[in-house]
Amino acid sequence: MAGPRALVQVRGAERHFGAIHALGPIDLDIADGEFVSVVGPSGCGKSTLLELLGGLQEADGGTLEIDGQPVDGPRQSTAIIFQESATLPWRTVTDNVAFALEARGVGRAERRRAARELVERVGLGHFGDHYPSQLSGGMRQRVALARCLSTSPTLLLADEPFGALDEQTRLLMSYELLRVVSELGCGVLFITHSIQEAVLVSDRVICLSARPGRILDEVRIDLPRPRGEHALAQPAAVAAIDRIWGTLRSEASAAMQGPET
Amino acid sequence: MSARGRGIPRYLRPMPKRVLGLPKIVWTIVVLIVLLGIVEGVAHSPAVTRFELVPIETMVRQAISLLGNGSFLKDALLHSSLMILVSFALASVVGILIALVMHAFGVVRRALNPFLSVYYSVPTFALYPIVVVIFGTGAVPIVITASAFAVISVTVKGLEGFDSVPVVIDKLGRSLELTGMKRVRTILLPAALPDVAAGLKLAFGYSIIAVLATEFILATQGLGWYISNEYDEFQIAGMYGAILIVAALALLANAGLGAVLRRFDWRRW
Repeated sequence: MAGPRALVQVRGAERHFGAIHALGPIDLDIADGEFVSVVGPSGCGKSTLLELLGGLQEADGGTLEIDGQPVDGPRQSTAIIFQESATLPWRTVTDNVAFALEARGVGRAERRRAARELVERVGLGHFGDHYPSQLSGGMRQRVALARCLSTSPTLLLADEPFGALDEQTRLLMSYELLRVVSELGCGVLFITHSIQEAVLVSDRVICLSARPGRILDEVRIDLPRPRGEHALAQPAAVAAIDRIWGTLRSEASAAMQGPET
Repeated sequence: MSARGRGIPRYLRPMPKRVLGLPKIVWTIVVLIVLLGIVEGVAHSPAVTRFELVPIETMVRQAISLLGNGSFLKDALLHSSLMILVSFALASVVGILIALVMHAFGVVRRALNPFLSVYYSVPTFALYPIVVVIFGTGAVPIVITASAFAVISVTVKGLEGFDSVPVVIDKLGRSLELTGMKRVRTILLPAALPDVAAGLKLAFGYSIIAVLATEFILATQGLGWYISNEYDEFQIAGMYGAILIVAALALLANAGLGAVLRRFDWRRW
């Protein structure tokens, strides 16, 4: 791969669940600071790929390396943001943001100070003492974003983080994510089922096939950064969306008609 | 149906503060007064003698005089309260520990689950005489029997709570490398707290029942013993006075515990 060295290096990664071949073999590189999205039909193993890289599942074939180290469990400088907001309902917004630092043994005063600053930064300044049940879905994902920021990760794994949000909130959150990522300068693996969203945020979009998920196509998104309000209206974006949909259309219908095993 | 509520679906309507034009608490008091009135009526009717039922006023007078009686306070009230508290504490700690171990180890859960589901129908009090034979009379067999009776509700509700942790929060915990006791402290226990609180409330009630019942069967002091002793000696008024004290105390303690536990219930915040 040209450019910066690979942060993530996946070679021939595979995953089976019993007799079901869920994923792979997959080869994938993510460079330092690169934003890579994965799109594919439902059940194609997108989330499995993310959990393999997050150390939450183990591959049963191939190798996965981050920063030259084989993945053998959760890693401190990888942050994960999940689809449903993984907020702790018994903690206030500030304490939720401080949770990752607490897990690392950062002292109470220090982590609370850091958390308050981050809460401010994701625009939840007035909600620091609120509980997650008092927030909207978009606000809860901001909490998750702030928690990811707190550990200054070099790799951010996002598993359809805005999938449960309405279209407008989802767009706003995409810009929010771009801002955060450019602040961190981290590499990103972004799982989504929205082609538009993938094109809007990514440097590169990977199209996966129906199960077992394999890479069908890689589309480089040549749009300037920062991506503005009209990024998706540019010819390069329109062409990319068209190409990705062309690749996925037959896969999506195959996934719909395929046996539900 | 009142005209006000018409057209608004029931699930959108707030809980009414008043029922039939009166505050809810008034109705609670009305029910209480009616019940006491029935007791009073029966007590004064020719259907019962003074050896069966005494008027409310006599009960209250007896209760008040008992509360001024040093030996009753020490040997009956204080003693039983201590037994209840110790049994409750033991049942709580052991119950939560069993639930934790069952949650953590699938083997233990599969082994204990069948016992858990039949435990409710075990006649715990029938075993009390055996426990007395082994440990003698005194505090130990009472605490053992009462804890054994109360522990099940803590375990069942605790297990329910530990199982209620959403998958995504479990994943978050794993990604932050929270394992062992750290996971118990930061995720499992707080997530289970509302259920554990419900279990503790039940266990407290069970502890009261079990301590009094065992004292009733065989003991040399305590509230249960006092009540049964008064009955045996035909001191019916004193018996009702003591029962009144037990009822009032249990009610107060339950309400107090409920208020304390509600503060830990994040589902109601």
